[in-house]
Amino acid sequence: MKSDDLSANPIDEIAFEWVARLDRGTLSSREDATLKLWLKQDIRHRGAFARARTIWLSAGRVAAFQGASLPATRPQPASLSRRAFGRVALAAGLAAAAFIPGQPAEASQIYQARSGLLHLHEPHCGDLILDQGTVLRIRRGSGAPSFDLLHGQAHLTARKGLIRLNMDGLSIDLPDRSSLIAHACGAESDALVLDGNILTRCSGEREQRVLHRREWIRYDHNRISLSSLSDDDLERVTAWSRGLLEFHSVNVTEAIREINRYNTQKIILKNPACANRRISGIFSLSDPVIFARILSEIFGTRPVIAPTEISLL
Amino acid sequence: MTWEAQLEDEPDNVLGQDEKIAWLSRHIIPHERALRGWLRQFRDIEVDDVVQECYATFLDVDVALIKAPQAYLFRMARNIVLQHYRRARIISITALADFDAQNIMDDAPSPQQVVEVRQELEYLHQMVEQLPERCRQVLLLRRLEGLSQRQVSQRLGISENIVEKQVARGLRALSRFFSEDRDAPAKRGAKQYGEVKAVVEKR
Repeated sequence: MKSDDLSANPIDEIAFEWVARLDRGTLSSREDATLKLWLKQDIRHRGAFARARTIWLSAGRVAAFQGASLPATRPQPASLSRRAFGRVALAAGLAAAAFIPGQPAEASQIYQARSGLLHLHEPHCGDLILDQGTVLRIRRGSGAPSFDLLHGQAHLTARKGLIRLNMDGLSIDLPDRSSLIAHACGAESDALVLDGNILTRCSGEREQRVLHRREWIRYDHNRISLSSLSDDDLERVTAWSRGLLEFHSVNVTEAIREINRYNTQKIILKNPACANRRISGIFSLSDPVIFARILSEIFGTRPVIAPTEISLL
Repeated sequence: MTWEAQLEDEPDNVLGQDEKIAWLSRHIIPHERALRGWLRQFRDIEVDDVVQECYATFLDVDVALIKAPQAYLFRMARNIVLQHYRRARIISITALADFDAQNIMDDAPSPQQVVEVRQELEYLHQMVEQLPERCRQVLLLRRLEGLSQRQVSQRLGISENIVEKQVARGLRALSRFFSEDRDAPAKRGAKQYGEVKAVVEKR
C-alpha cells in the first residue's frame, strides 16, 4: 500500500468515527468494550485514535474566523446579555486547552473586532481594547472571568482586581492597576508590560516570572525571548490602542495597507511613482481621507474620493 | 459510562492523556504535513502507518522533556522507518540507499519549514468554507459555538446520528487539511517590537 490518501485509510476512518461518537456523549458498555479492544489490537489504531483526537482539538482554530456564517441566530459581540452568555458555549478554543469531547460547554463569549478597534469594559476587572481582527474569548465561571486571546492583539488594563489572560503557551496574571499589550498569532504569543508588574508563566514552566514596565516576553515554539523597550518604542507600539498609527520611514504601500486594514473606505494607490517612497508621522487610523490628502500633498498625487474607496492618481 | 470515567479506567490508554493530546495539537500536528512530505521519499513505506505509529509512540513519552518537538518527531519517524526496513523480508536496495542518503532535520526548523500562521488560518477558513453545507454548519456550531451534538441536532432539525456522521466527515476534511501538500508560503511572522536582546532557552 503506497497511498497517502487519508480519506481512504481505513484505520483513520474508524478513528474518526470513534471520536465523533465520543463527542456525542456516553458510550454504552458494549461500545466501550469494542473501542478498547480495537485500540489494543494494533499500535496504528492507538496512533490513529490519538491523531483523530488531536485533529478534533485543533479544530478549535475555527474560532479565529468567527465571521463565518452560522445557521440561525447567534449572539453578536456588541450586544451582550446574560442570556447570551448562558447560550454561548466554550468549545472553540486555544490549542493548548484540554478538550473533552461531549463535555457540556461553560458560559463564555467570543468577541471579534471586525471594523476597527473594539472597546470592552468588564465591570469586575477592567478595560480591554481589541485591535482590528482580534478574537478574544471571555470565560465566566464561579470566580473572576478569564480571557483567552485567540488571535490578534489586545490592550488590557486591570482596574478592580486580577485579570487572568491565556494565550497559546503563555499565561499571564495582571494585578490591579497593571496594563499590557498582548499579541497572539498561532503558536506565537507575546506580551509587553505598559504599567505595573505582571506575572507570566510559559508552557512547561513551574515558576511564574515577574515582568516590569517596558519588558516584553515572547513565546514561540518552546522558546522564550525577553527584551526591554525604550519609551519611544513603547509609544510607537501602543499607538494603535489610542486610535493612532505611527510610521517611521515606512514604505507608502505598506502604510496604505495598514490604514486600509482599519477602514472600509480603502485607499488605492494608482500612481506608481510614490509606491516605494517612505513616510513618517502619526496618523489617525480611522480617517483614511486625511491620510490620503496628506499623501497627495507630499507626493503630488490627486485624490479621487468615493464612498468606498479613495484613488490616488 | 461517562467519558471521564473511561479516562480513569484506562490510565495507560489513549482514552486519557488530555494534556498530551493538547501538546500534540500544539507541537506535532503543525509539522505533520512536512513529515509526510519527507516520508514520501522513502520506498516501500506506508506513510500513514508511520504517522500513526508516531502518534502512538508520543503517548508513551514524557513530552515535557522534549525541547525540539519537530526534530524529535522526525527522528522518531526515521527510527520507525528503519524498523520497518529491518522487519521487511524483501526490500529494494535503492530503498536502503535512499534511506541512508536522508539527513535528519536540524532542531531549529528553517523558515521554509514553518508555515506562516495567518496563511494557515486562511487555508483552514477556505477548507471549512468548501465543506458541504450541512457538514460546515455542524462543525461551526459544534466547535465555534460550542453546542453539544444534541443541541446541534435541535438547531438544525436533524437527527443526532446525522450530526455524528457529519462530525466524522468534518474530521476527515480536517485530517486532509493537516496532512496534504500545499504551496504554502514560508515566511515566518516578523518581529513586531524590534530586536530581541536576550534569548532564554526553555529548560
